[in-house]
Amino acid sequence: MNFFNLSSPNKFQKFSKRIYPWVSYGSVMFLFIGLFFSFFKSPPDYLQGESVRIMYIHVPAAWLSLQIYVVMAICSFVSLVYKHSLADIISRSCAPIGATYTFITLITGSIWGKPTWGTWWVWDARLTSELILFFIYIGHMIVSNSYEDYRKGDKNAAILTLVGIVNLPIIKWSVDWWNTLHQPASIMKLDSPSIDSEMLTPLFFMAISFFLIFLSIMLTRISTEIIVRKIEIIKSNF
Amino acid sequence: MENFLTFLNSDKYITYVCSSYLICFFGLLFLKISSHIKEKKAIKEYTDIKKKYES
Repeated sequence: MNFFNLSSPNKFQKFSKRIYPWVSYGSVMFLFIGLFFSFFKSPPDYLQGESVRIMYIHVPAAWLSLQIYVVMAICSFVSLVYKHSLADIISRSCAPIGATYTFITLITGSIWGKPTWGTWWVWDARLTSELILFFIYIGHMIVSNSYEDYRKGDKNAAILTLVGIVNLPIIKWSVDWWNTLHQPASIMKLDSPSIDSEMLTPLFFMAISFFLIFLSIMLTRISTEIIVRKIEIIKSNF
Repeated sequence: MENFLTFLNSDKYITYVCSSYLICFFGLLFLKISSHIKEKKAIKEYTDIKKKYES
């Protein structure tokens, strides 16, 4: 199969219809495995107690909030340089999903913070930069839907996405650059992860599940956006 | 099973953990359902508009 063929919106739509059931069923399957390991196999943390179970949804959501933005930034670059319509469609489809994962990260982090730090929120670098990421996602959605001509909206939203990419390294390394209440990285490190395998297993399954959930929602939204654009073309031709 | 029973007996943490999981899954479920409804509406509009302009 030639993957370059998928750059055509119609061919991509056909391909997405074929893989959609696999992605959806896969996400549910990994979710149940992840939940089983999170509640039945994972022991409580010696310091944080049972609240450590929040990590199994907070961390994968945080990873995805960043990864989705990277996908959007690549698509925005391709859209601005090569004027590729599918890149705009992917970027537009990803923004609400990214916003949802960022919202989940902020809310679950806040709930986790209360029993661990004794507070719901602190204006520390990691939390503040993640909140800024949420506002960038919202900004992208507002800008891309603010114009009658969707091409103008896509172009301005792409510029906003590329400007906003400066926030990603700040989120990633904020815990190393500044003295923050948020703990430093314990999984995505150059040396081996510093958490136990009993906690790493549920995290791994939940991360796969969250990624497949993202993929399944993204495929649905891309398909919708392609149809909406076809309607626009038909309307403008008559 | 022992870990799950310990979790169920942890009065202090159970609310925090359960509320986090509920917010997370309701958020994702809402996004998934709303995306599906939007897709169905778009397909219906496309079929209608195609019929209208073809006739």
